Amino acid sequence: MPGLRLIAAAMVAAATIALVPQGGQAQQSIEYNQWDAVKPMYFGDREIGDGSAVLAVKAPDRAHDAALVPVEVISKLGPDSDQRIEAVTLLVERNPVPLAGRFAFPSQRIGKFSTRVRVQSYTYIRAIAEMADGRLLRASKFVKASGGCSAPAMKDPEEAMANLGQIRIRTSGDARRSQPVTAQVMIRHPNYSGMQYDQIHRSYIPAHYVEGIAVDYAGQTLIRAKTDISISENPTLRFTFTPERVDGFAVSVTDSKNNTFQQHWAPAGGQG
Amino acid sequence: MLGPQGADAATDAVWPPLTRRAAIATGAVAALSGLSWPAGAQAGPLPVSEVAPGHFVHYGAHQMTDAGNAGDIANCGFVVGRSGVAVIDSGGSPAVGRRLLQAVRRTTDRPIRYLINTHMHPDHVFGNVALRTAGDDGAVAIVGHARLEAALRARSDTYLGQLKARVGPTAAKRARFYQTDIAVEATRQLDLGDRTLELTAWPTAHTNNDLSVLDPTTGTFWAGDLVFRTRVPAVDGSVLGWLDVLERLRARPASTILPGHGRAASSWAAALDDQQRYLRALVSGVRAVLDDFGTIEQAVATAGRSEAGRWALFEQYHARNVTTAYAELEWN
Repeated sequence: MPGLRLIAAAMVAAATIALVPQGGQAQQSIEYNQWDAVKPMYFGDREIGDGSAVLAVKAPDRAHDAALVPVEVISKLGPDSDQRIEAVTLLVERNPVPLAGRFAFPSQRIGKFSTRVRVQSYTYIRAIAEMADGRLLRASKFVKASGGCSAPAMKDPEEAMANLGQIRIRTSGDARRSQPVTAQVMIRHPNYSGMQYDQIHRSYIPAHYVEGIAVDYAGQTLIRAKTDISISENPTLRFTFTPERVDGFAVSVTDSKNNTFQQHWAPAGGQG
Repeated sequence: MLGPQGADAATDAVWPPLTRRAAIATGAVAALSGLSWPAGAQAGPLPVSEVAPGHFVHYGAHQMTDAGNAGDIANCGFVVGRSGVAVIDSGGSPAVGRRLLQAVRRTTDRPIRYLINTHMHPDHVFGNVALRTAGDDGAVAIVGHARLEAALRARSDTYLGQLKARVGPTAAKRARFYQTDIAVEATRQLDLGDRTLELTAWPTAHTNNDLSVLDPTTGTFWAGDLVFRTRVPAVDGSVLGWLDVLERLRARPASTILPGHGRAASSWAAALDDQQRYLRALVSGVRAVLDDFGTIEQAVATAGRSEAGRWALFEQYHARNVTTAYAELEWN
């Protein structure tokens, strides 16, 4: 089972870190660097170059809530660039399962996208862009946070399952042809990590999380995301794109218990 | 980093068996280890004030928990009735709980009957081990909201890790979690002979397991962390639920209100006005950002900033409160 293998590797990595004495801040981020251990899990021996000219990762230096750390990936490519990002893999490097998700953009450019992740310990967050020309390019951000993966689900767990699978779609104002618009897909789901304790039954809550999010616009797939337990509860995906015409969204979400949830959204002014 | 199995083992190791016999056995161990507890600046009974007849409160410092204060950052205290004592919260470490026990013993020789935990937070429960084992005829009954034990079980590893990091390994080694002996679903009365304490379990507010204690004979209301004065409120339940509960509190007859943090108040207005203003500013600030399609980071930068400078530890807690409120309000 690949998941277990990844957890084992990450735990070895974490154990290695514990032996390193603490230094200053720059020193620390070097010590928390687990790239050499994590990279082969997802990219084998493929070469990954510096992506700083193509993309950037934004996240708070120190998380306010380790179970809810906003992360934004920004494309630096203009609309007329001859380069294209086909997918971005988001890794929370020192999490038990580093993969937060792989976000593919099969039909058109996404200017930026953001989601929220759990952070179990001080870590780099990595965004690896898969370019149309086959290159892999990396951008990084160091984040101080801890305990996010094992944090209890929900402030009020009784609410969590009652609302499972609700989906909301919002946009920043009306979509207009050839004008950038920001949209957000919100999903109510506890996204149980498998590391959270069930108080009543005195055992670990089995992992139960969103595995796939497909966002279609005007009949084309804008984003196809494959996600894992590092994504926060109530997953959200916010993204900016430039529609070629005004149309509606269709969102389809699948989870690890084979539930499928769907939602459609049509613009207030109708299609055109 | 603990995987599920490692964490499981750690939890079971700190959670003692639940029978009365086992609790007494634990008490024996605690009594022995008590011989070697360190003395120093934090030694001796906690200072307490009698704020109403029979009601003794200790005011915790408006600080973050560290080795210097040993977690003495929240209010705790006790009620002395004719037939026995009810302790209300136990401080943020076994050492603070022990000093609270000394304060009880200096005040009265009546037996401790109950240890009431107003909610799950570590600065209110980590002294439990010292008081739980102090009963003259067996264990002191632990009284809490029906959801207290569940909430503690879910967080025990996290809380112990924090205690170890902030107060020290000895504190974490001594600390224990306990089953709730008297779980309050809605209301419950505890008879102390000359007075009957009225306990109320609230819907999700500060946390999902807030419990208040009213002594109608003196009009004394122990609010736990439903009420913060001076120290900035920490939202760990529901900001909307908390505002609802605060309105309901105002309808309760009380002449002395004891917050979980900050000094006693003699009216609900004095107890709640500032806190309601803070929570409302939090809600309206986050809503404004949400209505404008703003992000968590934008909310952190703007929401409730008018409250800065009006609260102790504002910068330490406010950003987290905004994040928590944002996650709640985007769906509600």
